[in-house]
Amino acid sequence: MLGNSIYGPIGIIMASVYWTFPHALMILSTSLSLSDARLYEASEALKAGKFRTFLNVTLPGAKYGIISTTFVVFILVFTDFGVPKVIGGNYNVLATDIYREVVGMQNFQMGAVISIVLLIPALFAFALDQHSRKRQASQLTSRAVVYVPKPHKVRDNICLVYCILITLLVFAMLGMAQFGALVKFWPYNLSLTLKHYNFEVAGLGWDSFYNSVRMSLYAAFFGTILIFVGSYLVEKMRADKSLREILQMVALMPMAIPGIVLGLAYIFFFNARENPLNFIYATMAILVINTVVHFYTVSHLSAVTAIKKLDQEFESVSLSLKVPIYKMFFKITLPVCLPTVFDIFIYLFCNAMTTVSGVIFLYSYDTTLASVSAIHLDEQGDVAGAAAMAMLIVYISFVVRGLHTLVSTLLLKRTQAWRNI
Amino acid sequence: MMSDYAIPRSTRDKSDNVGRVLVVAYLVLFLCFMIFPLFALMSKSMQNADGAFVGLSNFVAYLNEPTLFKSFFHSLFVAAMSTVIVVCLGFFYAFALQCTCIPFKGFFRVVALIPLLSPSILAAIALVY
Repeated sequence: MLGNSIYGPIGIIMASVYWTFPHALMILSTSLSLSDARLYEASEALKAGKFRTFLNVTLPGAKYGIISTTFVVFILVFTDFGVPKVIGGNYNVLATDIYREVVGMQNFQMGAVISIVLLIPALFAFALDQHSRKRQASQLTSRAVVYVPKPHKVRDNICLVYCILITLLVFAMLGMAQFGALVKFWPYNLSLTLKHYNFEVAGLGWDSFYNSVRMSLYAAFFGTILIFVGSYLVEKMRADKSLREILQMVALMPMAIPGIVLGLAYIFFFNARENPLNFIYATMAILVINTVVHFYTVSHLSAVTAIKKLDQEFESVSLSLKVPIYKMFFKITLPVCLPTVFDIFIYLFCNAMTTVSGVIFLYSYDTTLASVSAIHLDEQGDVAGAAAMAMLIVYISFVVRGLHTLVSTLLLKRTQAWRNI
Repeated sequence: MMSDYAIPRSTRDKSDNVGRVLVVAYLVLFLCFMIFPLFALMSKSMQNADGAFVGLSNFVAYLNEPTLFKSFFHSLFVAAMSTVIVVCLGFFYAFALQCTCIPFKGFFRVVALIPLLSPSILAAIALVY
């Protein structure tokens, strides 16, 4: 492309844009949805044009969302391992350097040094993001009116075309990967075949796919319980305030630690023979624990938000009625927060299916994972196999996501009926 | 005597204690599975191949290795470029979903979230073709 190979910075940037886009979209659309209609009315009353309104009302309103997105996407790309590994070619980045030093050259010390070089900017960006989020809190007052857009032909048409374009790009990426997985030998023999789904390289086949599904189910199941109870403790327990604050702080930390750094740290800690926890090394358990820790923060924050909405009075009433806390937890807190619990479950499952960086150092011969297999298949030149494996991950995530929607709408009809009264 | 509607002290103390024990248990878990491993990583970065303490000399060696140090700027570059592009693209997509009257908003939202279901390497593999 433009005289440059796709292997290198251009490829890394394009692929990174693709996979970080939803993360950016979620933060940005939340921040835009909080805009106050009264500001738009004021702008119209002052006879400001559409464009002026956009510059002076819409953009400043989304300011913190934009700042937050910048930090989040920066950390994601800066610490990513999978994309530069597959498409980076000779263009080395920190994460691939760590992998090469540790796996290629067995130079663990240098791997540790690079990990710290990678960790420091990530921590820094994380701290800045936390700082800017604090100032955002009081932006929307209780008197704000939700903004409902009015039709505007030119703007709407441009936006529609833009959305269709992005949609086509998303489908093109998926289509290309699926096509690549089905074609006999790209680009010379374009007849279709399923042979790439046989995964002939030993140890990287269907077993790793089943391992991945098992690992993701464990991580989602145990992780959801652990995280939800943990955020309940942070929010509702009346025991020492300082203890709870420490727990809250610690729960935010995983977000700042890049997966590959956490993975390497696990090797050093758990592989040491004198460590009593050494027995979990090279088992399924270490993969599950690593995944739960790695994705702890986002789930924790959404659980805390959901629990916060419940009035503190519930606990006081239950105590004065001599209802034990655990009963209260199962009868009130859990059913009310069920939608969030489901969301956490699916978040953990999908991330566990797709994660590479956290687990690349931790799997053993019996516990290879699908995402890691895709990397190794690609490494050994079997790009079609890698594409096939990657698409398998997409399909299973899609199916589980669909099940999740089905189950939650059915269950929520029961547990959330009170909301409509 | 305690009045009828006061919270009985015994119940309160019991649940407080359970809470305290649980919070401490969580902190211990985080120590074992996050803090200690990170310390192990840090101490490893200050050892030589035989495990002896060498201070910051590994870091000095790193800075003196141009091929390794260059990667730092590579990482910064791709991260900065991707961030600028994603924020622009994402902002207008979010704007289209939130501040305009286009049809099929639900569909467009779901499509844009599809990449969450795919491993990050999927795009890289698709681009290889």
